[in-house]
Amino acid sequence: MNLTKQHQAAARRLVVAIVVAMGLASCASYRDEFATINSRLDQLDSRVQGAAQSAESANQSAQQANQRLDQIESRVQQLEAAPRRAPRG
Amino acid sequence: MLATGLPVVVQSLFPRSRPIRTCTHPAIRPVALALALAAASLGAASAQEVAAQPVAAVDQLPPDQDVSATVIELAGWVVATQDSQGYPFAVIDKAAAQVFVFGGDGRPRGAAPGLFGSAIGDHTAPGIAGLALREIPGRDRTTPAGRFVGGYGPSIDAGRVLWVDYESAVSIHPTADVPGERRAERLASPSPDDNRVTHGCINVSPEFYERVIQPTFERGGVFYILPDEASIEDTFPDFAQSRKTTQRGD
Repeated sequence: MNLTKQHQAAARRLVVAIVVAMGLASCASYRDEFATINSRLDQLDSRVQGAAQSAESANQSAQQANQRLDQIESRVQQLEAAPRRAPRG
Repeated sequence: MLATGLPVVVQSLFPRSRPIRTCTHPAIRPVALALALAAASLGAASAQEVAAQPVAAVDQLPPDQDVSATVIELAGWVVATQDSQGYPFAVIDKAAAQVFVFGGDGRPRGAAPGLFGSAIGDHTAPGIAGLALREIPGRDRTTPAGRFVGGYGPSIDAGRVLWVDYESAVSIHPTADVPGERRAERLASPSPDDNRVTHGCINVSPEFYERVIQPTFERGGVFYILPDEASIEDTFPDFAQSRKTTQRGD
């Protein structure tokens, strides 16, 4: 096989690789689009954000609740080091 | 250099024994550039997918099942008040046998049916965490209601588990295969009436656990479990107060 034929063969393989790569990329895009189509969770999101706006604008207790010092982080860390126990099935 | 940043399928086109640098045909360079761009776009798409993976929502609830107003209002209140302090959270409706998972940004990540304690009620029996499963009286096999800061920790017999309420030994985990209890069938049935079967733990499908629960709560979170019998005022007093104020404003 001479040099030109080797180059032509390499070029053909590269074209095939491009087609495969493009196909895989389009599959990824399709999956992303498909993941966003979820009407009930979209509705849930919309309703929760609406409820959040109502709660935020209508009362001051929201601010008071927010002042609670929960120290979630330290609580979570304690769980990692807590004595072993059996979960209730 | 060209092959090192490319996917395996592309790298295989360039066996190491072949001297790539000797390919100087003019047609090769634009094709190689196009290939590199294609591979780069593929890599970018994969990166986006990884970044978007936690956001890809999962809905395993039966098609016609609705979400209660209390769930919506409670989740909205958590978002409005930042009650979970930026941590992910779950709102769990025992009566409807539903588990709703939200990210730290307050956006839904998933919804699925769950299995709960066989006893109707919201209390935690004293000392229950120290009892073997068979020793727990039927009336005390409750999934307690309330607000719980949860996270992963070791267990005696199930490895590292996600504790919802460590004090009462309630965790959320994939459905266990318990002989005679038909847990998978109960989870799959559209009715919530047969979802009360555990000793208090919350069971979800293995797929939902793996795709939503585990990645979302890897670093902990807050669990809000609605009561069976207790009032919202007693279970979530701050939320109840806020809701009263909101309703007065309507």
